[in-house]
Amino acid sequence: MNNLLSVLGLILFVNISALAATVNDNIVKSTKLFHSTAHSTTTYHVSGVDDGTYDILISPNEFDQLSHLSVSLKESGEQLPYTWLNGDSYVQPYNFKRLAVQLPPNTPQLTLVLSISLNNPSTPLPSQLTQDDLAYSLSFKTYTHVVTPYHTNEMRVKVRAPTSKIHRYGMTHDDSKTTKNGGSMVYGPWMDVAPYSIPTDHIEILYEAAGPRLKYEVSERSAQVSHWGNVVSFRDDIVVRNNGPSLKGQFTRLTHQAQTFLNVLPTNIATMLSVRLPALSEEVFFVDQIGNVTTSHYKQGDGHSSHSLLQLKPRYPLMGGWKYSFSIGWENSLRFAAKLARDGTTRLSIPFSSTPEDVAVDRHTTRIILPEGAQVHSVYVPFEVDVQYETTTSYLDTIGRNTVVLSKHNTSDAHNGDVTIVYSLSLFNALRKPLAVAAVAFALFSAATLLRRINTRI
Amino acid sequence: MAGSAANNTNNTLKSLLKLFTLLAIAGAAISSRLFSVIRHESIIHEFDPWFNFRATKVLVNHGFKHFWNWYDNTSWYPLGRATGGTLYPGLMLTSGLIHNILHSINIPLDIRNICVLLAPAFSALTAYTTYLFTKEVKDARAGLLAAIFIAIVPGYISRSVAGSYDNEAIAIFLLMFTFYLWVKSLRLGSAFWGAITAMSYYYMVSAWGGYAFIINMIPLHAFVLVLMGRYSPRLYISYCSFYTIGTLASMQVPFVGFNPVGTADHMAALGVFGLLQLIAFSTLIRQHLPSKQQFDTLLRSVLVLGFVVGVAAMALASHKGVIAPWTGRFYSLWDTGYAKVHIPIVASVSEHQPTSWPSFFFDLQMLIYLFPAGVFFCFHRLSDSIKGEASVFVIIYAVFGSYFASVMVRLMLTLTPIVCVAAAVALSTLLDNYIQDPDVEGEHQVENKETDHNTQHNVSHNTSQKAFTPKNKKTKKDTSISSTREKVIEKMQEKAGIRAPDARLVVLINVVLMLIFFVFHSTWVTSNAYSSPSVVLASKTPQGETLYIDDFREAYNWLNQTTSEDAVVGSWWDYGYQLAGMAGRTTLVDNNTWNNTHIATVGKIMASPEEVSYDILRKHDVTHLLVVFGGLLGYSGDDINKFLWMVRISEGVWPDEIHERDYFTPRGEFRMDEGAAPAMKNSVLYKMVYHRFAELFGSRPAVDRVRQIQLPKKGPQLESLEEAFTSENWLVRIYQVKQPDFLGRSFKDAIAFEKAARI
Repeated sequence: MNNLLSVLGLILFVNISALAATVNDNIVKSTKLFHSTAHSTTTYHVSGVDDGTYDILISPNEFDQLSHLSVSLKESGEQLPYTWLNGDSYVQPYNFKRLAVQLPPNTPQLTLVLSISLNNPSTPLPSQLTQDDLAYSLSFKTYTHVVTPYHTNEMRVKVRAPTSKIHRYGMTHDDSKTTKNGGSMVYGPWMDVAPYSIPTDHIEILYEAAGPRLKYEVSERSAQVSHWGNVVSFRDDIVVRNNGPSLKGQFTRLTHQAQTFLNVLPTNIATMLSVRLPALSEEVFFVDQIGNVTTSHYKQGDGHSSHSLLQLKPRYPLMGGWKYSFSIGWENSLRFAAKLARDGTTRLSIPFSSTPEDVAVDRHTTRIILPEGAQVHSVYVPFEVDVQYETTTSYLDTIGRNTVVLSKHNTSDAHNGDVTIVYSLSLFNALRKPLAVAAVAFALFSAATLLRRINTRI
Repeated sequence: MAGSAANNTNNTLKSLLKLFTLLAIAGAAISSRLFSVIRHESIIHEFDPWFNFRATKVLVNHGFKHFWNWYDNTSWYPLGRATGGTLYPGLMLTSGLIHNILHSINIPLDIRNICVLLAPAFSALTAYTTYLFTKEVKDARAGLLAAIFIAIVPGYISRSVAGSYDNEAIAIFLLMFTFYLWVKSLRLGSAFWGAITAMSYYYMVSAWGGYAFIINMIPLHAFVLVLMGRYSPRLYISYCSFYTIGTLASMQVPFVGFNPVGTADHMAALGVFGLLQLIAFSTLIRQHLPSKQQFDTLLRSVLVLGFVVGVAAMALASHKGVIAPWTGRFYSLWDTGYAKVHIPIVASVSEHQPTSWPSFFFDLQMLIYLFPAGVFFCFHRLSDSIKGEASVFVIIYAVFGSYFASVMVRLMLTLTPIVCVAAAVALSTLLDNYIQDPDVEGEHQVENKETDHNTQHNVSHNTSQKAFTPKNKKTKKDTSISSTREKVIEKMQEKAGIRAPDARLVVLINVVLMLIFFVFHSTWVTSNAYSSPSVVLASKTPQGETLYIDDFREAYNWLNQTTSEDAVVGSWWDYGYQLAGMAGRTTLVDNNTWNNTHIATVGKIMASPEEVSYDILRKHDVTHLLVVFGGLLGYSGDDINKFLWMVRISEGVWPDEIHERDYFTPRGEFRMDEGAAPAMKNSVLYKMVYHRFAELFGSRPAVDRVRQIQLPKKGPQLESLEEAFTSENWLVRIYQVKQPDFLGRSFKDAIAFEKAARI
């Protein structure tokens, strides 16, 4: 371990003595790279745990790109609760973030799985491309080690790129422990690594992209629940940008048509975007500011398949750096989304997002508009989000509809899971709309009847 | 008592039936206009509606005050346009009001949908108004027929399909409503209804420039009535209340301003107003003067003096420029060749061309031959002392409407309502004769006459007009003679002749067939000719699938999403409104065509060689140029086919620099191929349109499908412009204007240097 550097002494860390007993037997970190996102799974074989918590360090780079994080036990798959330790007493070298995982009691030996999703983990090279350049590369940098506050007996870092066209994959200084097999690279094993040892060496992987690097700059979903219509209507407003190398020079249709004809389209062009919708979705639409986009396809899933596929083709091919804003919408029967509990409450499950694979979302907001007069009892989201409440006024409302607004910075397809909301709706509130319309109609008729009977002639 | 009760239920039944018929007509009117929404989508059509839609969005999003003072600096760059004061705000205010009312009762309907469906909704109202109007002319039976006709007649549908969000969408309703109110106020002689007419006229003024038709038609009607000796206090009251209130109200519209008292278009109304004062004055004097001879002398001298003074005053005012002369557009109505010579912009619009004969049949079908018959029957009804006035109106309207419709295709729209009314009168007279029992009809007529005479009597009693009573007696005598004669003829014809059952059956079956064919024709025309949004083109593949050609929106959306927000897009004026509405970018010229020089500037950019154009482009901060090219697709309405108008318009402003002659070959041909004139080949438009087009065909010869010509193998070379975007079917091509060379070289040198460096 010549090239490893123990960064700081023990005095910096307050709780070092308490942790001294915990030892990592083995750590394996495997990262799967895509174009805009990456999924990384780190397995910690831990022994000698005595106080029921285990601390995990997340590098500042990863923390900035972090979209989804979960810690679970490998054997049972049970999700473990965790807290971020941000206090002054936890100042970390190199701004590492510290995560304290609550372990189940009396388990001195266990296997933890940390899975994280990252947005935009790699940077495109070069920064500009002409339309004639068929390929571009992505560069991914990471540490050679998993940094942890405990002594580690053995650790490995694995990285898998989406293609086997790897231009560079070695470490900056020493390549002796690097093995490459197709698109997969393994770094290590590193033996007997001291706590907090941060290597100066880096892994840099330069791989050729197989498709465009897409990003949702804006992604806003509204899901409106209607008991009378027995539907949930969804609408997603999206701004997508081709985040790959930006287009150098101008776009030529002639070149594009020739490339399409010869089937040699550059990897930096996005012509199609596939969104998975729930099976049995109805009333699907795809519009932008100036109306229907006539170039889309919709494959309706039947009862057997789990989803329908909406293939969106933007009005123009998305070259590098170009953006396109659009909206899609559909309806699902309430039968599949909501269940009536015995105590009269309704349990509603709504997917938080429908982000396609390998698309990084800057900020996603989901607005769940409940029926008029519904009272929210609880909101359950399987990941960290900001929850806010507001009132939306819509068709023929008298008091407005309670709305749950969930928003999160950095999301991806890892967040396509369901949000569960339990709410109650009284009979009066369910009948509020027809009653209101009937009352107004009655008032109008009465007024008309009265007016007809008044003689206005002078 | 029992009889009256039975009569009562009968009447209730009749009015209920009428109500349901009218509702069904409204349903037919609305649903037949929805073809484009069902086939395509809820989208704003064509060109002008896009501006109206944008203006409505400004009104809805920023409020009335902002809309009223709206200065649009993104159009007519760099001049800008004081939009709030140069538009007819009626349409936007109507949909804005509907939007606000719906939102206040929590119906959050999108403003786009309101705008798209406004025209069909108002067409239902037009049908109802036409019913009311025809009821004033003849009776409710004719009214229902007229309502059916106007509801589905293609001539009106052409301008009021869903999505055709233009001024005409509400203006035809207002036109008919104002005419109905006028005829009604004339019948009642009521200042109240005269004022209501004026208010409706005010609404019309705020909605459409075609209000000039009303302000000339109503005075003309009044004038003709005076000439016919049908002057009455009713005429005086209704006309004067209408004219005074209407004129004052119309001056409140900023775009109209002082026109109603300052331009020749409105002087007829003022003249008739003066004439009516003179006549009223003379009538008053006559009542106070003892001898008839004294009166005659006085009358003659006053009338002559008044006329002379009036004409002299108007002539002087015109000479001094107080009264603006007739506008050029008005002249072009009288002289069809005028526009082509003096205002090429007006002549370049296809809807300003004279109407061809088949289009009358296409737009009106059987109504066009029922129309003269209806006018004939209106002549028949002139003797009716009250409803005769409405008949006079129909006749005048028919004559002028026909003339205008034959001058300009666009004015077919103003003819259509009166064709429907007249055709309904003709058809209903026919049906009256063949369906109704002669006895019942006779009774009805007598009833009618009685009520008429009652009102006439009342009026004449109130105003004590002796001059008109003898005439009345005369007509009474006439009708009694004719009615006895009719009875005799009827008795003779009961067994055989035109009223025999078999003859009736033949006529009725014919009429029913005609009506059925009319419905089929109207639906067919609506579906095939008038329901295309023209923003999206639809065609069928050989397999029968619908293929959408969405190039316009593709290009506009590209501009919107990828160019910087302060980009200035130059294009021929046809696309100005769409560019502003869909791409949201600054334009040089648009369909408002208020500044001929600016349009000529764009024409010069397109028609000149690159070196000349580049300077103009830089001076106007133009970053992009947009051209429409249909050569690949066979879309004939493209910029090459409009090119001669660009040349003509810019020649009008720069006769020294642009010559139409240069764009033709020495043999006088207008060619695009190898043998095109040098000026043509060097023009920026030609270069932009055919830039790299030949390369698309590879080794095969390049063919322009619109003009059916073979293009040269080597396409034109652009120097100061570079292609930025071309839509999928090459329909829209957008070019970016290059920045000046950073070394100060000419573009030609720079390109040559680059090429050499590459080798």
